[in-house]
Amino acid sequence: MLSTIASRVPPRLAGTAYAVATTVRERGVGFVLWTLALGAALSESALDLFGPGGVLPRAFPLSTRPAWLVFTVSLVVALTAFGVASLRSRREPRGKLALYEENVRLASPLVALPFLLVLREPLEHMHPGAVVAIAAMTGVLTSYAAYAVVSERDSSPSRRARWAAVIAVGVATLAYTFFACRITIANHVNLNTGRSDLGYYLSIFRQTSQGHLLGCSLCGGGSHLTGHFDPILIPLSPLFLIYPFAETLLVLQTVWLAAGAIPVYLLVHHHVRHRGAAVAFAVAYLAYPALHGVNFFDFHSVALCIPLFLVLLYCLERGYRLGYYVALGLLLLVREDIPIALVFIGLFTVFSKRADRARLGWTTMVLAVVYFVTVKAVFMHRVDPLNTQTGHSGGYAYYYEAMIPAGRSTAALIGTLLSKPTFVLAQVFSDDKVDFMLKLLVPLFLLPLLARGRMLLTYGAALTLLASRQYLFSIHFQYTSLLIPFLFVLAAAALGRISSGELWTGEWSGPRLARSLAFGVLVTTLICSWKFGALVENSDFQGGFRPLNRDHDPEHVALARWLKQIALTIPKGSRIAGNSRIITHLGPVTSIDLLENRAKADYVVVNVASRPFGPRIVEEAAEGNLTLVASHEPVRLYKAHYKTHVAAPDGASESPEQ
Amino acid sequence: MNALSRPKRFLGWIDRVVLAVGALGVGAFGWPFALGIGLGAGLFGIVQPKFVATMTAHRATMDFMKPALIASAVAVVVVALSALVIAWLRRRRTGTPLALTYVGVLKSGAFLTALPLVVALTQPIAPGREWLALLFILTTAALVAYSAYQTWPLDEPLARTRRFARAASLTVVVAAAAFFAWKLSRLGIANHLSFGTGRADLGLYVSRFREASEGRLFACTLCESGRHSYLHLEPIVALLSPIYLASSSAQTLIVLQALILASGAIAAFFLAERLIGNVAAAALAVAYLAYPPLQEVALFDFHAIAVAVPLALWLLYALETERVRTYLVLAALLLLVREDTCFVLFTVGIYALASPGGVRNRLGWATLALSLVAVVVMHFAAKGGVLATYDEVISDFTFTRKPRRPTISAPFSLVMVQRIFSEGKALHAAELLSPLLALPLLVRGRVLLLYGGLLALLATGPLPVSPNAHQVALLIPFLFALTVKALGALFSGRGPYGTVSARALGRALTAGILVCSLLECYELGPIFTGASYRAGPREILRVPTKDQVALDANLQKLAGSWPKGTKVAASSILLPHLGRASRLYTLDDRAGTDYVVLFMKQRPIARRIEAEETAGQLVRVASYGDAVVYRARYRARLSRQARQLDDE
Repeated sequence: MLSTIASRVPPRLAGTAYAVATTVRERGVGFVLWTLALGAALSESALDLFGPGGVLPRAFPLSTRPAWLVFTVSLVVALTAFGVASLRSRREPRGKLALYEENVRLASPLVALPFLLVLREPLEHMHPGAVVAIAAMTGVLTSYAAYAVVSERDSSPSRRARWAAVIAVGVATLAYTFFACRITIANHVNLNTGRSDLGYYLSIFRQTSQGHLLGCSLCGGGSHLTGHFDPILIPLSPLFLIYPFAETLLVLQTVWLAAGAIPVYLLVHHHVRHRGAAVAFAVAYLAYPALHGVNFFDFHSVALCIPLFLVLLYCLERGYRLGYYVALGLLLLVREDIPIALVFIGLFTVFSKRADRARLGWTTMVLAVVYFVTVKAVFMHRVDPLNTQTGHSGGYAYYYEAMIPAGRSTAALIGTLLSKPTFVLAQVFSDDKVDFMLKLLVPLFLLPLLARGRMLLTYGAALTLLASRQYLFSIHFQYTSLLIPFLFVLAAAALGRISSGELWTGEWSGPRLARSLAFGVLVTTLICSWKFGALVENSDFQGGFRPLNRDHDPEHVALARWLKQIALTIPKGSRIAGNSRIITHLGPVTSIDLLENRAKADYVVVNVASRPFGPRIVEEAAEGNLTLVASHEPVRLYKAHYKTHVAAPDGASESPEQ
Repeated sequence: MNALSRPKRFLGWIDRVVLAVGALGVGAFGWPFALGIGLGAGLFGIVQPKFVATMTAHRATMDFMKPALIASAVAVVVVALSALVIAWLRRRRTGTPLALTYVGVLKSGAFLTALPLVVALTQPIAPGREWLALLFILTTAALVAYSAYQTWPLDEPLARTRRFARAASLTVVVAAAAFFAWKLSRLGIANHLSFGTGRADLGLYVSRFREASEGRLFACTLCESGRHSYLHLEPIVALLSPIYLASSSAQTLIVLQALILASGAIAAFFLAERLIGNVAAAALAVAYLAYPPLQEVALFDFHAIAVAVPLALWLLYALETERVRTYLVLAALLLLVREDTCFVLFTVGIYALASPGGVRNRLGWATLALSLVAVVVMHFAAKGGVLATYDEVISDFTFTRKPRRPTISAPFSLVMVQRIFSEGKALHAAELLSPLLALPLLVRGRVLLLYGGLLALLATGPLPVSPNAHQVALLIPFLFALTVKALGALFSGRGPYGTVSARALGRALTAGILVCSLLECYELGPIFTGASYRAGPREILRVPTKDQVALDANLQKLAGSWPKGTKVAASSILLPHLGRASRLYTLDDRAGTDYVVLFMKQRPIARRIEAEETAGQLVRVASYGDAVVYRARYRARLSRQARQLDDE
């Protein structure tokens, strides 16, 4: 029947119909749908910006007839793409339709424009899933467009290209360092840092630089060993002698973390053989929101492991034994639990089935186990990884209290893991934790899950996902330090698998796909950074417990300057007690303490307007326990001469959030 | 001289040992543990149900920890030893290296790791934590697919169709379809007898079927007092209405819908059989019947759009087999289902155009032409225009209806983003795609999903458990057709699959789909669980009381006793039970009717009606439990205020 009808159709029309059908069959209907999608997206963006109720309301033709506007803009898109295709066809031997298809593909990221415009609203806190989805969609579209542009060939070995890439990474790293330092110092100057945890590390640096290694006046027992063993701070503490204030720690941490961009660049270049993709990944590392959480929440020794792990794994990948063992040695010094992560690196190395790596693998494991046992038994006197003393609860067990039956510790945690898999899964896949995982994995396009060596994530994942305290599975704290380096290393390795064809990519070229994915990762990470990171102000980001305070407040600046001056005047060996947010400004003082312990202090520095301590201190001054030395209202410095023990008012103390 | 006497040699010896261990791979050590824990915890959970209940606890306790650990430890040893024994026996028979077979055996048994997850599904996870339930189900399906991939012979070509195997497969499909139809009819009827249905939408269809069966093809007395036709143009109702003459009750519609949807399994089987063989096709057809979104469509009152599901599957089958006449007839029938199916047909036209083969291309052109003509005809023929469904589902930011069109402004995009990227939509997408392992998204022809996908994406809320739940019928057939296509590509073995054994992967994925669908059916569907289940906005009531059954019987008898042409106004909840009455009206239109049937449990309405009874406008003629029948004696039209009873 159809054949009869077809035979009556004029040959020319039949030929055209056949050609259209062939085109649709070979190329799909994507070129039509992309044209329509671009038309709709551009129209919507124009209405969003210039339509009634838009940001810049301005009447323009068809602004009140959206359907016609979409039709017209789609037509303009089609004509433009066709015009460009016609021009290109003079130089390129490909057909116009292929060029048209490529043109609309190149413009495809514009489809995300209306969604990106919506992100100017503070959606990130209430609708994080929507923001992550938009970021991922834009990244995927970018990869799709980039695929048409990136080359199949390996990057040029020319010196100029190499230098250009190095300069790009260098500039990005310096720019990040500059802006991050500015923000983190501004936050500190605005009295937005406190005892937990900048105060602790300030005290460790001060005491260590004065010869009392890993001493900490704020920690129980006067030493940090009750909490962590982080001897890497010993060689770093002389830096504190140059400028004995918290800013040294903040800058040190920022520079150290920013340096991680270099091994990321080298790793990606090693796997993908494309400098542009490697630079994109290095910038993505710097923009990674979870890295900002580590960087902007005070100072933590564990943060120092990020670049070291990256260097270690780069050396492992390239077979640089000396570099590997140096990084391994430094990593062992970072914190007492780093050996646990190193055991997994050892296992990964052993199971990578490469003869040249076998010795690296087992020596890593042996060193890690010996070091861990020695440190826990000899230095910390607590063999339990959660620092719980035998037969007692406490230590870090309360971080994992949902997983640990009351009064138990690590053994019971392992017991729960092995005996109740569904309970564990139900805990791990709670809404908050899924949100956390999405924020970590979506900027990297879930690539780490496609790489060999996912066991590298085991310790970091266990540390965060088994926890019941929200701050352990938040990107605003330092706990992601044991995930970030492995996520980037695995993402780079996954790109390598795609590039080499080890992972099936269907009709797509492996090298081009890997490179285009790197650009997609960059775009997704930048959008996530905008809405969840620290560099651009948003409603979601917090440096630890508190949102960052970026304002330049002259009063705060003057107060911080005054605190620095008085800190320099306090004699060496003195103990000063102060508000949580004030003691972090007293770097040069040998021993800093909280107001709860002011009876043992030589000096007390207090914000008299603060609760609960301010009024009490004023009373104590009136009773003669304190003598006013200096003041910068409302903050006062007293000389203390308590004769008896003083209790905190109504048992109060300042919480970490204060 | 031993190795210890020379450090270098000793180190070399350790290196070799480590290398040998590494060569075994993580699986050699990881799988025994995973399998042991899975088997131990799973079997212990079966024996001790209280242990399974600890999954939902807020904090771990020491309860059952020791016996569960012992069970797991024993299982680890048993698994490792069993794998070693099997590997040793195989080595003796075939000479395959022990380590290789050992790991192979463990991988083949990987699905056993999921045992505790399956056991956990007996707990009330959904509703509330649907994502967790989906995670358990998908993990199980993935492990089954993995085991299947490791177990079945690699790259074995598709077996030649044997008549017996085909007949057996088809029998299984027909039996499963019969079970589906029986079970869902039973559930639907029980829900109806429990008075879980109302005017919208079962009452509407009861009325329309009655009217059409009596010759008034497009009449709808329940639509704006019968002055207008129904908002949607659904000529298929008129075509099916003779069936209603056989048994004029809502039960007929419920059974009819279940049968229609069940028949889609046969279409799915035939569509898949050519590409993936009859056994895999049977598995896919069973997966179709177990698909929870399909079951929601089947249980949500009656909707003409449900007919589109098997029709679309048969249409694609006719296209694939190039049966031109059948295809054209089916295309025409699809157009009769609802005014907007022309859009669906348009996407089928594009799909046909992109398919290889001259006949399909010509069919593609014909389909496009047909659907374009239908767009124009339906737009003018349907009361709500061709975009009535679009308005209904996406109402508050449609471009099409001037009165409803809002000013397009900044919040427009915001609303759109909040709608599209909401968690409910993501969950709906997961529920649609997860049983099919997301295969429809990986194959060419996704254009088929365009119309249904847009409706689902832009809808004011997620479609499931909403008044628009039945719209998912526009997606289901195409999701299955695309799954068949994706599996077909794997079964053909053609294509750039690299080191992947495509056929083995195809079989493994089919097994995964079947397991995933069955488990989702168990956890999220209405068939196996006695937990609360919603089809559309209302909860399904499973057990009618004796009084309710008696009331339904009395109402049916009453409706049958009225002469043809009698006008009856009834409470919304009673309307579907008066299927034999010629003209059904809402209570608001009671002034123009002959009888009024009232459900007395709605006290505010009952008080108003009783006042009208006192005023002599109504005369009580009978009462059946909570239902009271009045003879209407209204002398004049009621005022607007008096009319409205807010009975929905």
